[in-house]
Amino acid sequence: MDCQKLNQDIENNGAVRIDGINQAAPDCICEKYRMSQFSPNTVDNSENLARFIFSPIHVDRKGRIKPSIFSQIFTTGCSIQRDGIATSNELIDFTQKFLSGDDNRLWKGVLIAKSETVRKIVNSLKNQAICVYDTAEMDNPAHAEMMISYNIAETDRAELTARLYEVFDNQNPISPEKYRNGEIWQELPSDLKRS
Amino acid sequence: MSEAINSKGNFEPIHNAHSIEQVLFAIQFEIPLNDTLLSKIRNIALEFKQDGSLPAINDIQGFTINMGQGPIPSQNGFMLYKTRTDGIIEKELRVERNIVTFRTTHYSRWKDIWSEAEKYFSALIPLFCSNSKITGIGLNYFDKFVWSGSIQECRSDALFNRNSKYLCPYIFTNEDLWHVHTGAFIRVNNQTKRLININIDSFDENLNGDTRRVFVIATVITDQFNQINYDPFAFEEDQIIEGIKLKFTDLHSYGKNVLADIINYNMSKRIALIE
Amino acid sequence: MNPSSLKGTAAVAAQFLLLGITSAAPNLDVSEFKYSTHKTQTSPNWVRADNSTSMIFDGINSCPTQSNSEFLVHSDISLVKTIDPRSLIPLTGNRSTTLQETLVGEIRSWGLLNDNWDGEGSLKPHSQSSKEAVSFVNLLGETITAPEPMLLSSGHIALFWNDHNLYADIEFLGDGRIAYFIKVNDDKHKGVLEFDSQQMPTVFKAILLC
Repeated sequence: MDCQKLNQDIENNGAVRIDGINQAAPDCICEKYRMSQFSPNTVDNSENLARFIFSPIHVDRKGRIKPSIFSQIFTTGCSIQRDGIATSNELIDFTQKFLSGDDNRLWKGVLIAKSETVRKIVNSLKNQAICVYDTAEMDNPAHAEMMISYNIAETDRAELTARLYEVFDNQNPISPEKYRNGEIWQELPSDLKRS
Repeated sequence: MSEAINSKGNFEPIHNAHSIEQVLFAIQFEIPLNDTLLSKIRNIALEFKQDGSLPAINDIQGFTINMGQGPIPSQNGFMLYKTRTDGIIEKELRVERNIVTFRTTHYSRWKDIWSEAEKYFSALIPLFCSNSKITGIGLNYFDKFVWSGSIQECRSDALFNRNSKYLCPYIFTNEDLWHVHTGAFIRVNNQTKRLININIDSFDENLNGDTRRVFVIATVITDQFNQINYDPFAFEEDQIIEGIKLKFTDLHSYGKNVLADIINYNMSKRIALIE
Repeated sequence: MNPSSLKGTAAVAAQFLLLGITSAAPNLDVSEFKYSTHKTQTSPNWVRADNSTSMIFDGINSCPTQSNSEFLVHSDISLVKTIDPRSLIPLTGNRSTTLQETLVGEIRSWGLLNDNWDGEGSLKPHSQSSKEAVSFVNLLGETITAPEPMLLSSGHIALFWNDHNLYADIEFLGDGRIAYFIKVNDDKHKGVLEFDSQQMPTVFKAILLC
């Protein structure tokens, strides 16, 4: 299965992309093959996945993260960083780029979960519900994505999100000042140190 | 026309979902009530005190002047009202000899606010109408917007529509406070003469020790009947409340259009004035 | 306009109503109304001072005669008691914004977002979904546990509760339907139901509002 070609060829257009990948490579087959030439290897079950939170829309009045942070698993694919392979410089670049994109963006924190735990979530058909792919980018080789393995009924989406929410321990994001001992935060330009 | 992008602040409607600080309904009559009718209406209105909607009552005193004599006190009406726990009046029904007004600070949706006004009017207006024709119906709004950034960064085009027919162009270049007050009579139809009055004021408001820049848009729209060069008009006797409802609904729509002309597209969307 | 005599005594023709007078009538100060002895056929006798708080606008001239007891008043006087907003004091300067207004305001503020508002390709808010969510919030009333509004990648609005033993995620599909997942203690409820924006669906009354 040429998952790299699949990833390159499939139209980068939200659910069309997710559907296209699932049709061509069902049951998360592409987890076994590199999906990007920039990726060092496939995402191992032992790896920690880091979901960065940049939009204040996903933060509630008490400062807790809302499950909407994961809603991209149904649409465009939910971007994550492979915490174990991402270098600090790469993460500084990545964070800087994101925060520079919009003055309203803030770095609210990072949520971490083990890849194995995410892959163990099952859908109503008892299949693996969420695939984790190594969709590395040229300037972000640690980039990966979570996306649903099958289209599920509207009635099941919120429950699946709740499971993911639980797995990523949403009540307890790691603050930017504490993530990697503040190494990334400290290196950001002062005008981007917005949290 | 582009609107200002204020990275250092923006305007917010006073109550987040909407900008309405106060709305007032007014119905005016040709002939003032005599003492007997005023007393009857007062007795009917007491039910609103009893059911808790407007639990407090005060009488309104006036005075009469006879030439060559001093003023003589007289009762000219009453007001029923509800206060908050801190004593500030939240809503008020005011009945005077030839005018009834209801005003409230708790605007949510038109449907709900009219429903409450209708409750009071349905009980009282028929008795007024037994004595006199309605000569005017008015609807007033106070819309308030607060600038979130520093006062020095405040820009009028972040709130107001540069192309508004109600605004003077110089307000968009003025750096300090300003006001615009404007009004006109409009012929709505052969029976209705409409007075519109728009007063926009900016001021620096002190709140809890902080100063913030605020803009208030007061929109006063009054339909007057039986005017010179207009055909006579009277509500159908058994359709008075329905007729009043239609008039107020029309004034509400008109008022929305006026406000939508004054504030810019983004703010109009923000407060769901437009889709 | 031809003035005609509306015979009334001065007592009837000259009643002035002042705002905020309580039942204990004070000594009324009439100084705000300047009375001029220089009466003419066209200039009004009574001029409202600039700082008046009176609700009366005498929009038409009153032309008093030389008599002490009779006013000539135009027969077409309409006594438009226009409320003068410059003198009208709002009932309260700053009432608190309610929680419902805060929630609705937040949902409405998202209406200005464009596609890719999050930098991750999410769609701009779906207007019908927003309207349905606003209607739902208005139907909630001032509940003890208020939800958090959510903007999903699909552009749909959802409401979220996560307090004590309640976890609830309600998505407004923008076509008159709601998809929901609710967990109360260990009991789970999920489904899709019709929502007409007028009434709170029964299942939510039982679970969310108890």
